[in-house]
Amino acid sequence: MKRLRFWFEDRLGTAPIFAFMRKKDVPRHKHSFLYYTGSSILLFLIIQIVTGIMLALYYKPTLEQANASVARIMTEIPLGWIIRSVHSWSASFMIALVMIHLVGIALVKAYRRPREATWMTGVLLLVVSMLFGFTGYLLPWDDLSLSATKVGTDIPKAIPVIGAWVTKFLRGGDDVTGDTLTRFFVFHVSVLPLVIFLLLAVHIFLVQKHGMSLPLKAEVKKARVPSLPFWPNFLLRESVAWLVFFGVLVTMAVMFAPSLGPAANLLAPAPSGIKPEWYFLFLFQTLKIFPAHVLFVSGETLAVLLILAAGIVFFALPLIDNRPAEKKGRFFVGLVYAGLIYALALTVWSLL
Amino acid sequence: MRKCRPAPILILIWLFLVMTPFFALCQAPPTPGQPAARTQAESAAPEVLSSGPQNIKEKTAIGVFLAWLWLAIAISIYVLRWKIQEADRVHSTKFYPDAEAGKDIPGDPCNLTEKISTP
Repeated sequence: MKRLRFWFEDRLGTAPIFAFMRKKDVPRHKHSFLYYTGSSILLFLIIQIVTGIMLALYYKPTLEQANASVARIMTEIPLGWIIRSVHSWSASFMIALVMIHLVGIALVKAYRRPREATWMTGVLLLVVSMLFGFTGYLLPWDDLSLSATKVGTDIPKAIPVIGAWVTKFLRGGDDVTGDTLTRFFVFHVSVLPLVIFLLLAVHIFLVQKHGMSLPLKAEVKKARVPSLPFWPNFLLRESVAWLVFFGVLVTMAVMFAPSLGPAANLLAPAPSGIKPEWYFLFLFQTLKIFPAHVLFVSGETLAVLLILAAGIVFFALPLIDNRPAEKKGRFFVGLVYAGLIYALALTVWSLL
Repeated sequence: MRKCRPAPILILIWLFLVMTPFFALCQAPPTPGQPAARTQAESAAPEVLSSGPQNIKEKTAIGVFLAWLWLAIAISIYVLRWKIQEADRVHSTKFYPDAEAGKDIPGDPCNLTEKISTP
């Protein structure tokens, strides 16, 4: 075993990585759980990749065979239904953890100098994760996924000037067809994975470069915070979190496996009760509560522009709140709480 | 004296505990209540295909599988807790004090560079 390790070490030159891991320290304070959420996201990403590859072995991204191939995965392929369920649930878990991680970072103001780029890549990772969910939702090609995708790809139309082009680009035509399915499959399995790996590499590099953030008080006083060695103390603790997350994920996947509707009919009317995945519900409800017209502007256009503006503010938060660590920035904490309450309230409202 | 290395054995036990129920589920034959794979023509039929256990046999298999899984996780956490305590004890005694200063640890058994550079 040792010889094999030395052989790899000699060829790959991984000694600096292990040396870095042994010398890296993780601060210990009351917000330390945020470090665990960050690394647990990686667990769900790995599960997504493994189950995604397994599903791709049997999935056929064509209009005629997409729904039937998913049905085959669920009924004929050994453990196919569990793999599909784990893939679906781990996507939800991953997005939930990314959201918790980002909100936590925003509340403890870990996005401030010098970690602005780390925050921005984190927000982009959330966007890419949501795009994974959006593109993956169409792949089973049932009535619900078709209708939800029609509604989802219709939303960019409300953006002035470029909106119609964006919708056409997403659909691969004027309407959702087999071309959209192929396009979404390609995005889901090749384009988005490349983007997420790139962003993740930059994000992890930045986290290592700037080190893990400390509570504001400690940053101001330059106080020495108790710390743990990354290897093995932190990684062993992380393993406990990973095991628990894995157990909860498999339990949820087995107990509440997603069903599959009948194959989508392009000519059929939209079924009632179309709803996107839970992480889009607050956006969906925001669009619904706006009136048809506000003064001379279309309500939908106004809602989409407001959502875009909120997204840009969230992305550029470190540039807006670029004050030194001494300033507590209570206004921005309030803003984050307000956004959180708004998103939760509208999600619950949408479910009622 | 040769040191006892429990980690690979524990990993094997853990793998056995986790994988056994997976294989058991794999071996379970399809039951009459389970819908057969739909062909292209059949897929047009307006029916919702629900996944998950279809009958009492499959439900029992799932229950056993989850029990095994959580048992394996509980054992793993117990062992990890033990290892965390040991790691914390080593850290608190400052067994490797130079690690914090960012220097190489002479005689560190984990130091691969040192091992390789030795002729």
